[in-house]
Amino acid sequence: MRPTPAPALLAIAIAITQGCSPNPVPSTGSATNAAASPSAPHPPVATPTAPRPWFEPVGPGSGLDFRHHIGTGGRFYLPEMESGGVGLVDFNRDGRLDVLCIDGGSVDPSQVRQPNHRLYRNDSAWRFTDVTAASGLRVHSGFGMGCTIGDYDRDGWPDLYITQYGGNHLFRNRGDGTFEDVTRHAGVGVDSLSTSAAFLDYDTDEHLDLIVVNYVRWTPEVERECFSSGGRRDYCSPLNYQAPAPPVLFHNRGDGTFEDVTREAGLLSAFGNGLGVATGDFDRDGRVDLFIANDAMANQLWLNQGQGRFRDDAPLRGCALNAVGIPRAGMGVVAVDLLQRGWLDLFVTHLVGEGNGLFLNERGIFTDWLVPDGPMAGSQPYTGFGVEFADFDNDGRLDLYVANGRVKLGLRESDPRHPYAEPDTLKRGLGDGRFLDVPFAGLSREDLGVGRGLAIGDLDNDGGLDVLVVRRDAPILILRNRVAGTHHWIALQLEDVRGNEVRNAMVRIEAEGRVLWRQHQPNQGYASSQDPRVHFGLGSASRVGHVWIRWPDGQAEDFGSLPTDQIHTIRQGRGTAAPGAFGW
Amino acid sequence: MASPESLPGYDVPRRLRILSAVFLLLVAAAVVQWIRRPPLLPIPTPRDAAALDPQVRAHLEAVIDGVRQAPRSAMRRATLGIAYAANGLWNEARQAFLDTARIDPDEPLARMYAAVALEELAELPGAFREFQALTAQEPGFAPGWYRVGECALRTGDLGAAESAFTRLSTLAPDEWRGPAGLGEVRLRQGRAADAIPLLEKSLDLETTARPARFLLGQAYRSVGRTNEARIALAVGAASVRHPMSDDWSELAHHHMKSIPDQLVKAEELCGAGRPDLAVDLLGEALKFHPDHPGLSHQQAMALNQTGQADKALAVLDRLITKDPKAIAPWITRSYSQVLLGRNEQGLADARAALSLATNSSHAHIAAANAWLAMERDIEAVAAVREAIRCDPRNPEIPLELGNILWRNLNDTNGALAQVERAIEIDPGQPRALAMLGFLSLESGNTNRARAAAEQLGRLAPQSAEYRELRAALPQR
Repeated sequence: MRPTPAPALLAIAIAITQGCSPNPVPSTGSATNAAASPSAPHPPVATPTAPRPWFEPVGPGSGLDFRHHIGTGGRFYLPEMESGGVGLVDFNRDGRLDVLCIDGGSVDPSQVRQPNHRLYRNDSAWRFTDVTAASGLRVHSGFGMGCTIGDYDRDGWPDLYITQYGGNHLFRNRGDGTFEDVTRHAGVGVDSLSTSAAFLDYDTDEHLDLIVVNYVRWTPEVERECFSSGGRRDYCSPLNYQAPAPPVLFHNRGDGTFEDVTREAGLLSAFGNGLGVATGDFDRDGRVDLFIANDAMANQLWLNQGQGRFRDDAPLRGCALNAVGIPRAGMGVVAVDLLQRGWLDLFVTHLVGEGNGLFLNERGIFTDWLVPDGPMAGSQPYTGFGVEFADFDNDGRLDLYVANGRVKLGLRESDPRHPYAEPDTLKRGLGDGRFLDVPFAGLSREDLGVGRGLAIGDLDNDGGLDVLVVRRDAPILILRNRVAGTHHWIALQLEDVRGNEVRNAMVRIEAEGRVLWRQHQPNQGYASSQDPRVHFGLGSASRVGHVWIRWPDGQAEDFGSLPTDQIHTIRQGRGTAAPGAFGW
Repeated sequence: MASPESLPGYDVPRRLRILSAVFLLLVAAAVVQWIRRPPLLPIPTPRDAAALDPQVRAHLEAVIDGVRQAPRSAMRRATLGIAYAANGLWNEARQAFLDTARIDPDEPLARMYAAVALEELAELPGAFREFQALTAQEPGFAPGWYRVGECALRTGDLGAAESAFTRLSTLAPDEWRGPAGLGEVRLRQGRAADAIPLLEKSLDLETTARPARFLLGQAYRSVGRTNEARIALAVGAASVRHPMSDDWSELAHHHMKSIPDQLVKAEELCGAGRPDLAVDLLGEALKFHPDHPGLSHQQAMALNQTGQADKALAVLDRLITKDPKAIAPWITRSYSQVLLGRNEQGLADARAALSLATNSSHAHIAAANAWLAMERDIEAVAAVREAIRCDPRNPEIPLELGNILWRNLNDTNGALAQVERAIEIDPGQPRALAMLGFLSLESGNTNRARAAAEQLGRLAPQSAEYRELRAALPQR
């Protein structure tokens, strides 16, 4: 009798479920005669002690009056929950960081409303002007999710990439304060539900390539009815759609166009519900790798094999799942050298109950690190999105800011009127991976919101890092640094030999015996882009003894001693070759 | 007959005194019992009952009525706590468990679940303190030590975790979570070599303990046993950490009444070979949600499995009429048609699903199923290959393709290639390893068959596949 596999095929069909389970610095200082040139002196603030609170909110009176929208609400459309990004970009090269804010719009087919992304020019002294209309930065359709920033055409003017549901957009900076939508010409119009994206030069051809992370293959028609505890209507988990969307890797041809190399690169062999992306040389083989944080699915660590090929080694290297093999809801992610020893760790924000996670990089092998006073401690009550490590108090130790906000109705509501709202988290770094909570996230009282995109940067060039948080369906949160105090600092603007932007350079400095590490990559966190300058807090050190840089092409240079409390422009090729300085 | 009064040594006042004393003692006991009776506590009710799923609400109301009838019953309070917990209402659950503990202070599960509720409310430090207090008072309570250990691991307190899992291993030597917890502590201490025997012991106690296998994979990786690590990590991945069971956790299943829970339970019943029970369960849920497409669709799938494809067809016809763009009902109807012998209609339904979603692997598989029923194996193979293209990471699909190539087309090499593909995606699939073994035997590669059997024996020694493969292997 002929065997028929039909019952087994039926068994696969049983698995079909329908229900729910659930910016360049001022060019005033010429860099032509010096290895590194101070471009703007910034004397330390003469405050004897760091004031508390750490931040002072800046209101819409500043002119930065962005408000994020998600439409009419009530239908629980998936993209509404993940929308909202912010980018820091000196688009007019006046030395001041301008602000790009990403709106949602409306995803409801019956309530079409185009996203109202905004570009604010920083006029100094905490005054901003909405220049969206004059800049030509107009998107007529889709639902905004996030942004990333990079000079893809190497003309010296930073360009903007906006991720959306319903088509992404690349805006080329013309250099005259206006932008042109070159999406179609460049070939980067991903039609998916894109979230985070990053510019990187994975093949070291000096042209910035682009990785775009996608969440779920979603349309309003596939929206489902989902519930939270007790059966209340709520947003769905991405798992309910059983339709993770693969990322897209674009190779920059160098002629203003990109080619989709996702398949050739191998990135279609594993993917999940992508929300965050971080880039860096995680295995120190000299090539830039990719880490993609997935929501409720295993993460991918795409190790760059050269020749345009990548291999997912997350399962074996220990950063796919948590310590016991359980996938977590990865949202935002940053590559950070937490212990300051030249290895890039990965910090991923997660869902309430899971706690944020640090994958500690031990010579290329990651450990899901858990210590009572680590950066993950105490994060279980919150759902983290935007995230960045930065030295806010300039004491030489990295601090941590996480923008929190729920995706599901909670068991305990901090504010009954805004059931998804949560307070943000600020942790003061104590060094050696230990942290201490700063009350009210550095404010004078609790402030709730549904935090999504987070950008950190020195908006007033005073050496203190400021904070911007785009909150779902709410005004932007702008926090002016009040804690940097008398501590010294230094900021570096990195350029390649032709004066163009570089990515993923490793920077090591020595200041009065202390060695500090940073990777230069502003495109990380959640759907956002950070200050493009590399910032170091120096504590009481009034001089930086050495600045070593390992450039993306593998060359290492020593830029010698630099004065503090300034922003320096560092150009590749103007230092002293230091081939053994990094050891890899 | 002598009267009692006349009996020697019996005097009336003394007798009265004794009787009075007994009476007073009884009264005193009654008073003490009355004073010490369980307090009449208010009954915790859902904060926003109107927003609850109607089936959940109805169930909770019934449980609350039970408490009202016997408000001083610790078990009824506990049942209410379990019902709240089972439906994710942890605030209310905590209150019910605290009430239970007040009524019956000697019941450690009440205090444990009050702390579990706190943990579920993401208040880890508070929960940890309560678990520790519980084990201090109840040092012989194994589930309490498990909770202390787990909570300590989550907060990074390795010392407390080590003590707790050591104690758990002593109290419950057959519990795999004891050595697994100690193994995780050793791994976090950077002592991978010491973790290995602990984790292997844990897997000896419970072969299917995926968290332990994942931890073992990390330990193997750390000591350079890369190939073993790769397999253990793959097999242990994507696990769910089920807490140590106890008398109350076993009850929770009966109180889960939300739609997602009904769907999951129905799937589990179908998977366990009891689709009849799934039909009943979904029928009950549909009384509360008569128009819910997910429940109806799941019911149709269960009906197919019970051999009632005609009834499934009626359900699916209604779903398709209501929403012709929904893909799943078309796919399931395709199976119903085939089960009823209407193979052409089955193929037509699968094609209808494909017209709605060309990249649906499930729709391609439904088409393959119809082709197979028509004995059109070549077309079936082509359809399954399309399914693989749509869902390249699903190991089940190449396995099915391998099965068709092997059984229907006698293409052993082709089948082997598909099975190898499935194993590459998931190295721990018992069915794939068994197929590899049988196919290797068939192709004369006994060594590879033995290796597959050994691997299968490590991963699933109790499985039917392992027994069958071992029986088929030639004696050495």
